[in-house]
Amino acid sequence: MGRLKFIGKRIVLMVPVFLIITFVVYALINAAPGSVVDNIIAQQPDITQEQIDQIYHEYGLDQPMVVRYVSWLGGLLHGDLGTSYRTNEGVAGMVIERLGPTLILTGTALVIAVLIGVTLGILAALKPGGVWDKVSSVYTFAGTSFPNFFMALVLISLLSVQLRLLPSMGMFTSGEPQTPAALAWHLVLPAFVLSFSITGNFIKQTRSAMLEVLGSDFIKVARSKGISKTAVYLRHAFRNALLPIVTQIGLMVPFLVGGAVVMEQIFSWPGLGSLMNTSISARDYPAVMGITVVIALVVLVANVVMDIVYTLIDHRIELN
Amino acid sequence: MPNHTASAGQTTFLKRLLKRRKAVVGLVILAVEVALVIVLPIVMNLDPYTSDTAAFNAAPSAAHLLGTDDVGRDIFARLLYGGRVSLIVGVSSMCISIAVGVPLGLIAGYFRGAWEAVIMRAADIFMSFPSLVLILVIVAVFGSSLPIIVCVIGLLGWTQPAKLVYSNVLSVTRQEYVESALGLGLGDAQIIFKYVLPNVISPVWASMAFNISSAITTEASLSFLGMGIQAPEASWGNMVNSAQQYVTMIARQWMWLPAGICLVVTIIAVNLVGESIRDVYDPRSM
Repeated sequence: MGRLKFIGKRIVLMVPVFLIITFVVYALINAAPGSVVDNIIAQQPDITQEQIDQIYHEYGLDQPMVVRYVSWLGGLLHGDLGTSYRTNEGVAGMVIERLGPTLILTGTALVIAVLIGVTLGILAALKPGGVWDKVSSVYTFAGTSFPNFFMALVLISLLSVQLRLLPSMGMFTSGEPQTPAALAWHLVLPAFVLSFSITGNFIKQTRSAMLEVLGSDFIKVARSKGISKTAVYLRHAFRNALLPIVTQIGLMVPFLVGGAVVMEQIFSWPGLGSLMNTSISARDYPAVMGITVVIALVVLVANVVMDIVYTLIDHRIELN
Repeated sequence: MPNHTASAGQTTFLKRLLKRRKAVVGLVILAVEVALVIVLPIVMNLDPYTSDTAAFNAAPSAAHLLGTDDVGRDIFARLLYGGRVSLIVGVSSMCISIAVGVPLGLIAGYFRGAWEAVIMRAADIFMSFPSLVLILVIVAVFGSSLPIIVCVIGLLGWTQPAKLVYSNVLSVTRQEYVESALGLGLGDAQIIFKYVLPNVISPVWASMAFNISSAITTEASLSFLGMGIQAPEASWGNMVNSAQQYVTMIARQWMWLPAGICLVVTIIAVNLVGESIRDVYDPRSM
């Protein structure tokens, strides 16, 4: 029961955060000099003041910003995010269509980062200063030093263009069946590059958590009882190293989404990031707002999920 | 170990830093780079803006050391001007982040209460939203000139130094010498500047370096996306952008590969210095 209360509290705490993020972006967009209306007016040289007022009214721009924000929020509650200036489609439909591909890309990148990071972190902790520890440091250092867009382009020119090993465009090859295997194949490059810069965080967290646990008394007792080294490491030490790793996952989600904006641009990935780039270039503010909402929801939901996982693991440790 | 005399601490710090090969390598690379981007454009009379109408997309030659781009601008000149942009963005943004983040962290950690609640909650909110997305929106609204980019990246970088200083202030104010200073009835300002600040600032030095490298990366990503520094101004990010065209990527690598390599080398150099500073202050993290 205590756990449910805790989770409920975390969800309630997310509401003001969501409101603050969307309000800040809404206010920023409204500070933009020149709105969509100015374009329409500029196209009609013999327009009257009355018509101008009419257009402002149609777009709701005759209201103060806070009023417009509140009515925008009201629309959001009904699943209405307005109409795109660029395509004249409903923004809600546009962003929901793009959410799936972004979740697939960032989710896969997260899984890759955790798998490589935890493996290298454990290996590094088993023998500090050993070969795997060095490999881990180099991997971490390279990850933080190679800008993802440059790394992506170098890998595309080597692996996709010259060796023709991996695809570099979109989620599927046009004209070929859209199977899960084809999707996985198209995911290899963008997801790996996206994972590369955050893997180091998982290596560091796993390594230090493992070292801490390995030095503690209960591990020494377990070892002295004659339990095999591998069993001690994996069953007891790693379980205790899980908590910092889960915390790290929550912290890395915003980085992944930010990185996805760049990766989707390079790999023509049909997700929220590439839609963000197009919408910003076109000054399509309703779309920008809609994407912001979805991104805010994704990071906040990820936070709550990580909190839930955290309490579940914590509980298991208490039971032990 | 509290060090009250900052100057003595700094000399030994420099000595210890320069004993590390990583630090020396990083500092030498950066010094050479700073010298090159300042001196070469003047000495060689380089022009990154004018088109050589006789040489569009030209391969490297004696006339153009690293060739020209699609409108005939000299790549070598643009590389050096792009280097100026990266270094300016890195250092200035970092200064802004520190100037905003350190005082906020100090206030939150020292005064606690409502200050702590508001400042640290704000930091959490900033950290929970992808900063690149926010930067894209801000730049789209306010324009993408160099000063705006520097300010935006700098202001949004306040969370890391603030959190770092905050958590250190919390542990320092529990130390006896600060408690006794409080007992002596010294003013808040006196205690903060004399006893708290000198003892929480050392981890900030390492974070300054990482702040520089992340600012450089952010500007490059922004310019790569076409939202940052705009042509004809040169930036390593917008130079690499040309590789999005298939022909350039494969057949005209002089247009983007050198810019990307400079970017990576610069970030590596800054990170090497940052890691060395951190190792000197906190050997446990090695």
